Amino acid sequence: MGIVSPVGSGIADFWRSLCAGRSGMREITRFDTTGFSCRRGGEIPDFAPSPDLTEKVADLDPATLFMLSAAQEAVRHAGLDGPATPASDAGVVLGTNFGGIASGEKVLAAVTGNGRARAADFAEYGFQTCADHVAAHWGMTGPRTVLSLSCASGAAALAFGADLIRAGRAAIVLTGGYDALTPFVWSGLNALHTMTRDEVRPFDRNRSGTLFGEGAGALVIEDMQQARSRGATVYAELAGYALNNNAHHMTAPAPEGRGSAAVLRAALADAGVGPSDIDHFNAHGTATRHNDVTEAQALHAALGERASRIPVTSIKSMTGHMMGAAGSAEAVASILSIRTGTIPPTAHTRDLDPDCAVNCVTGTALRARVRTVLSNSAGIGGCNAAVIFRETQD
Amino acid sequence: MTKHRVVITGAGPVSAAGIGYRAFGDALRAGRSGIREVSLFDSAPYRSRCAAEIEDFDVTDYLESEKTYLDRSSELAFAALRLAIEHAGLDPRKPEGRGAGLVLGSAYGSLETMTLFFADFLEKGPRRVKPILFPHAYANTAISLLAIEYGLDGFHLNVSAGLVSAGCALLAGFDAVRAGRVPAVFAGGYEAFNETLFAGFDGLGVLSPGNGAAEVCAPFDCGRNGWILGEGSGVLVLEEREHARRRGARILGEILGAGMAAGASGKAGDPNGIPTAMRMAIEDAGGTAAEIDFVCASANGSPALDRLEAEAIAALPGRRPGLCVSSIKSVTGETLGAGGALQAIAALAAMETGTVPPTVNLRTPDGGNDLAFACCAENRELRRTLVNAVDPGGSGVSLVLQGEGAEPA
Repeated sequence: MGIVSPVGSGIADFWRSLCAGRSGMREITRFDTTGFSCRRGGEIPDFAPSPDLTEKVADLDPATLFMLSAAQEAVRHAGLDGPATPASDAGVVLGTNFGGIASGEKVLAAVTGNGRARAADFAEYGFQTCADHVAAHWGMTGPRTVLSLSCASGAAALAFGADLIRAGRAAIVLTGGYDALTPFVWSGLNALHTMTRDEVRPFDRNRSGTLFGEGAGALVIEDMQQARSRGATVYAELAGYALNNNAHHMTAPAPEGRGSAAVLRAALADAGVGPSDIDHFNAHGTATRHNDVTEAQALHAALGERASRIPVTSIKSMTGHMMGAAGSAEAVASILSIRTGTIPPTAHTRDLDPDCAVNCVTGTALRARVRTVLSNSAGIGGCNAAVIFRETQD
Repeated sequence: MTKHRVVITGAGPVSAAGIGYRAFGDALRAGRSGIREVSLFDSAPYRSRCAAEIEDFDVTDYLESEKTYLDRSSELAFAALRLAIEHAGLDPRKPEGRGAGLVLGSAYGSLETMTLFFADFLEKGPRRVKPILFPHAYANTAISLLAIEYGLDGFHLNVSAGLVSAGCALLAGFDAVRAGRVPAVFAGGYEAFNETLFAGFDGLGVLSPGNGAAEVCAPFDCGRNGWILGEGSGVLVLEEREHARRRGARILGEILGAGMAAGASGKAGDPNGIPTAMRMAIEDAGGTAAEIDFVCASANGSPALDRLEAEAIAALPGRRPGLCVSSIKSVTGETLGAGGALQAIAALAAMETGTVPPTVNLRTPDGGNDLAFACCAENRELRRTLVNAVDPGGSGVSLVLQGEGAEPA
């Protein structure tokens, strides 16, 4: 696993911050936020990729650098950085909302007579380009693709990567999600009126919206037998997953969270587990009025009475909504909960909304035996994704 | 794991060469190219002048409900899905269409709406942008709008993987039906032509040079000098065979196998994934290369990529001598994220009529040894076709399609 996030880059820092309830929200400084209703977000200031990636800094889009850095940590964490590893056979499946949009903005500005662009900016904008850079760094030759399902992109990358392994098209896949905050992204999200001037308070009675963050998450998934036979540390099993669409509205959630409920049930069925097997729900939890209510409804519809018993957390209270990276970052957190027996608190949430009726972890981290985690994602356009991680015996 | 057979029961192509299965197939056989001088904007500032734009297209012919705004890419996606639904007689809103998935690919999605939205921001400031445009500026805008329009609430995947977008979408749909996850999938790709796209590729220098030098899309030809962009969309109805039989559907063909691989360097011109993808697809189909009658190639006039593909096909272990190869891109233009879907539909039409569509502008093949490049339409018995998709970044997808008459169902 690897991570670049507003609460820290690298698994250790990320997890320390989350378990301490430390928020990564700050004033945006990379671009001018004058005129926007919201000026705070999960910007990663002074991001410095590791020295062996820095030669690329001038040429690559910032979002691609996030992804490369997260991938680099994941490749090392998976023991794929030495000789005689299956890295060269690996597939690459990434998810993103906006790809190399900082480079894309220059192209958009140039074509409308508002600026200049280099020829390479158009290439660096292309969604597939990031996957090409990641693959090229380690010489990976397996199936390579990029998915874009709004804020379900990171989770969708895990799902499709796992599909490739199940279908025998790859034995090992580097999956991940990435996105960066830029003026284009900010002006669009600002226009959607989902951002708060307050903190992000998922499931709180006084929640008033979300804040957006940036970064990348990476997870190496591998055929279990191959992983065991090469002596890799298996951090968890990706037990099941599902993708669907609300087929309801571009921006409004489905009534009673119907699409999310269906995707959660489909993931349970895919994993061959029932509601009683789920120990923890890692929520999408954006802290918008509508999301949290409909997500809680979906959880109740999928898990029945167990929905109000299992601990629920939303790390977006600290990372902000990392868009295409959200599903990947939450997958990393879910697996770390299994490994460490710790569920991070939902920071800033004090006064639980009775309309949500979930057992939200607040205040301090919760120590708990976590065998199986259900992680939920959703995005604009009604895209849903759910992923289930299960403990493995070392 | 049980593997279900995956048949194709409908196809909706939308291209400058023709709209709808018949018109598209007829244009390909006749080699009627849709490439013209650009009309959507003034191409004078650019090195190239031509593209394959879709003319005589009115999206309201393909909508179920009124829309206040649609990006051109969404319009093309709407048209292809509607045509595919009608062609297959499989309506997602009716009981036999329930549970169908939707898997599409597009390299640049809603690039035109992104341009419009961002221009307002740059010129007028954050308070003067048009909020309605932003939900239409996502890469998944088109697929989500289609899901809403037709109540497609099942398996849902949107690919943005450059020139292999549609190929990857077809592979994902194929795997989902084959694994028994869904009874049917509407799968394909779409891409709209616009000035931002043109400016971007013109700047990269991959387009056929205009302004003096002959601007031509001549796949595999010794004189090829680049791509000519096109636009279009194609959706195929992939259906579990028993599901199709039970409802008495007409079967156009079958997907027998798929393969996907990539080159290590990520650079155009270096070895890419297509040799491995072709071998994997043939192996996945449970057949041999000798059974392949036709390769519906990805070649688009690129000096480097066309040669790599021709060499890969020529070197395909066990292939028959004089294997027939053609590219439809001199007729459709390089439709990027729609390419693999339009080629798959072209393959079905070719096998149905026993006619290889010609590679227009191909006179002197560059390399490829004994391969039979189709310079003009050729009548042959065609049972199995390999459909290739190659991205300059090195990704390759290959599919093995079988025609409907090949084996009694």
